[in-house]
Amino acid sequence: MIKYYTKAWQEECVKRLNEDPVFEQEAKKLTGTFVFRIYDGPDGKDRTMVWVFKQGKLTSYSYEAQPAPWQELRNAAFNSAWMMRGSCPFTMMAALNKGEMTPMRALSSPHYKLEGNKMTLMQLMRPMSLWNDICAKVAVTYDYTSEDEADAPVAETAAAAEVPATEAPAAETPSGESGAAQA
Amino acid sequence: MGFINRNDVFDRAEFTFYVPTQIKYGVGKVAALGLEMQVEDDLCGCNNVMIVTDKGVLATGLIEKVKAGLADSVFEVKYIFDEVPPDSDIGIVDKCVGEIKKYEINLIIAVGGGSVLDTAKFVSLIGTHGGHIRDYEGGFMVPGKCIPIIAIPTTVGTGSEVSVGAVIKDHETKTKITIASPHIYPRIALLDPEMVATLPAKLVAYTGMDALTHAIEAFVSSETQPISEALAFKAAEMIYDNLETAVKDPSNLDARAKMQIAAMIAGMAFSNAPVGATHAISHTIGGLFGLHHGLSNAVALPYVMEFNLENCPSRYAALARAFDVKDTGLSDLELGKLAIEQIRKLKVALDIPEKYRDLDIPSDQDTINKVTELALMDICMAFNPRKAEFDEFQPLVQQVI
Repeated sequence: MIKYYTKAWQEECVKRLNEDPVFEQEAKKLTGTFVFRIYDGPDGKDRTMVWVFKQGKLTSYSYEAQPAPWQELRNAAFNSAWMMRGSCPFTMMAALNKGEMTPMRALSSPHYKLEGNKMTLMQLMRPMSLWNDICAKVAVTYDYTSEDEADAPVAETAAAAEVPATEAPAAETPSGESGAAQA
Repeated sequence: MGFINRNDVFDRAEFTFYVPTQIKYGVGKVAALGLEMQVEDDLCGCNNVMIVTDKGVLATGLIEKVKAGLADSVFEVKYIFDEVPPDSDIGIVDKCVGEIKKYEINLIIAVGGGSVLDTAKFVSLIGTHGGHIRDYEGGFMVPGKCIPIIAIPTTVGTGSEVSVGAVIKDHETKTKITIASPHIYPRIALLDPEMVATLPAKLVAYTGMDALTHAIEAFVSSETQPISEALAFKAAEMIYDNLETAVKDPSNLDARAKMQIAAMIAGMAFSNAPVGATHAISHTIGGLFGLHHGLSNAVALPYVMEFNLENCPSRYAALARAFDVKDTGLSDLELGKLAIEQIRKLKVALDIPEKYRDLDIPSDQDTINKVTELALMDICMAFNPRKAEFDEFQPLVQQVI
């Protein structure tokens, strides 16, 4: 089974997002770079994912993981060209994905940092909720003890080079529904 | 450096300010309601009108004023829905939507306080797009334009007449549902001081404290920006200067008019810099125990200000100056504490209880824990200047209760 928040998980999410007709229809407002930083994974790694959308189509994405604390990632400044960056511990992101924690609860926590214009992000709630719903349906395991398909040191696809992965921390969602808190 | 507001570092990379509602103010303005709407290109063809209100407002004769304002106009009142309760719920919305469809309503005139105005927003939404309220919960989930609303506030607190949001109760789950969308802004907010002249003193106090909470929380919101700040600060000062008079001297139309305007200004502020932890707690208490929203905010406000103080001392210091505190070179923290003290004194002057337990809210540990957990899941917490986990937030809730 796919491990949560790995390259394989992101690729499966990308496949589903790009093939979902409802998402294609409803996510036309979704344009921009969404960055997530997820700290202290069960394998002792920090990880980052970048998702770049243009009118609801994923034009590029990237994933990278390095042993925690990955200081370069943790200290990277927010880039105002990004739509948002969300940062939180792996356990929180996993709780969100499992439905054990609501995005609203995460947003009230000092351990979940959201950067970007929240008012603009709120305008994207509908497509971000759909994005999240699709990703949350991917069957995953949170057990990292098995050896298969762990994290390649660096795994990039498509046009990920547009966004240097080391500058690309994580994201959280502005409002309450599912949102991109988990993406 | 600014004497009133510190010249703090401007740390917002970007911001948006948006309030599309047209504001029309005037003593006796309701008498010209038909004319005011007739001159608007997008409204002059909306002839099938429903008035949404409550029985209290109906009993005061204010609806007759509204109907008189529509006399000899192209606007026909097809139905008056007067069943909105003080703490409206989704069942009421469903009932009202049935009438919307029956009479092919294309314009809603909402006359009342926050419960009425918010109910009208939900009715406008569901009457246009169908579905269930839960489908639209959260931010910006409304897919498009809704039936236009003319909002005529009869209280001095809600701000809903110019706000992006609406809140309603789900009695089954005992929770409040919040939506925010640019499509539910009222088309026109018509402010007529005569519509608040007969508001009972107790409701002036509660709704006025609601407006003060909007102003203060918008002023320190995580999304604060210069335009909302200016509005929030002005509203806070106006409310502080006029609320007690508006409560104790009902004949003082000047004070009530200023309260009505200040509440509207605060609504514009919090639509762009959302409110925080006071509202998160208040929504929870309202959902669980049905306490009046303004009263609930009034009780929690000074406690939440203490909780937030170290995260925004210069903001509270500025508020202290607006609240008549003499700045004799005190630190921002000291001034901030004095601002909170002024709020406590105002509460006493308005006869507002200190804690929720004084209003028969249970104070047992289970209640405290439940309120804490639910408040932390309220969307408003995302905009509070201080984030918190359960262990940090629970002592605050315990204090307030």
